[in-house]
Amino acid sequence: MPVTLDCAKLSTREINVSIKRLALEGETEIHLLNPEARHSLGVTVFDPITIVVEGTAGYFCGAMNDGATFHILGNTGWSAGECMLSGEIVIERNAASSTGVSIRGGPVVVKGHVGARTGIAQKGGLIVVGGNTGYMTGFMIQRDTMIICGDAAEGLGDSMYAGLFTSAARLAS
Amino acid sequence: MKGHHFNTQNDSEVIAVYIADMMQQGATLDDAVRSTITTLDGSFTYLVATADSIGLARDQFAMKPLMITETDELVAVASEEAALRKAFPFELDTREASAREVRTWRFDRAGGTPGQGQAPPLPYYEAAHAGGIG
Repeated sequence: MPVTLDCAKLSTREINVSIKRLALEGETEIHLLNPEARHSLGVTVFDPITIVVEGTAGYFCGAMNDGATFHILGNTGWSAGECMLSGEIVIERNAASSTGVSIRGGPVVVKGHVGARTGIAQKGGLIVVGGNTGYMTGFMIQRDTMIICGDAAEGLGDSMYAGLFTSAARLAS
Repeated sequence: MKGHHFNTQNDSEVIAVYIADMMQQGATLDDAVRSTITTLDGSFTYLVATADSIGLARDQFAMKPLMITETDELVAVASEEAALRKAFPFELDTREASAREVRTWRFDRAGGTPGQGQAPPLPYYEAAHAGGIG
């Protein structure tokens, strides 16, 4: 049985400290209940554990992740997985702006649409978007790959240094 | 513009006065809101309401947040999904508005429920492409 943390009864600091403590105690899977779009859930997790967010997360979910696997069952707000070094983030629905910004490793998978500035300054890893991307996606990307299954909005790869975009559908000029 | 009175020191008031001026000259709310995308210089996301309509617009750089939930029963918008969740105690199918997105809806007084918009609602990708996507 995975451990559960009820976000409705805890402050954000208590949630994130509990995640680190449970990881130290050897737990391998933690479920966050009632996230209700709370910001900063699961930031700076450096342990190889699985975190399941049972709903929608707010800004910065999984930011600075180094080794953890995040599975978000709802949407995410701005900057999910920002600056991730390693690990994995899977978002079942839509993600807002600045998803996967500056990641150096690990896949970020969004099954729905993403907002503006997704994956800007990406330096490694992989970003997969099941739906459409927003304005200026991949701005100043420096390395590695982004796969877009839907349409790419205006400004894709603007000012890019290096990297690869693959898109299955329409690209805006 | 001519002869308009400003009530605040807030530059956002220009948007309301500009839209009111256009509508006084015969523009629909949808026309007026749509024109702000190219007329106004700067980053903005705003909501606007008249006696029988509401509308929203997001600027070409998509700098300011705006989340939209739209179902057959309701339309709800807010700067963050956390605000929407305070109003609706269940998971929502929410997406971020795209750059240059404009939407307007007219309130159907006879039915007492939100009626058809002046511009018919479009699926996400069509709405995005119609406005220069982003």
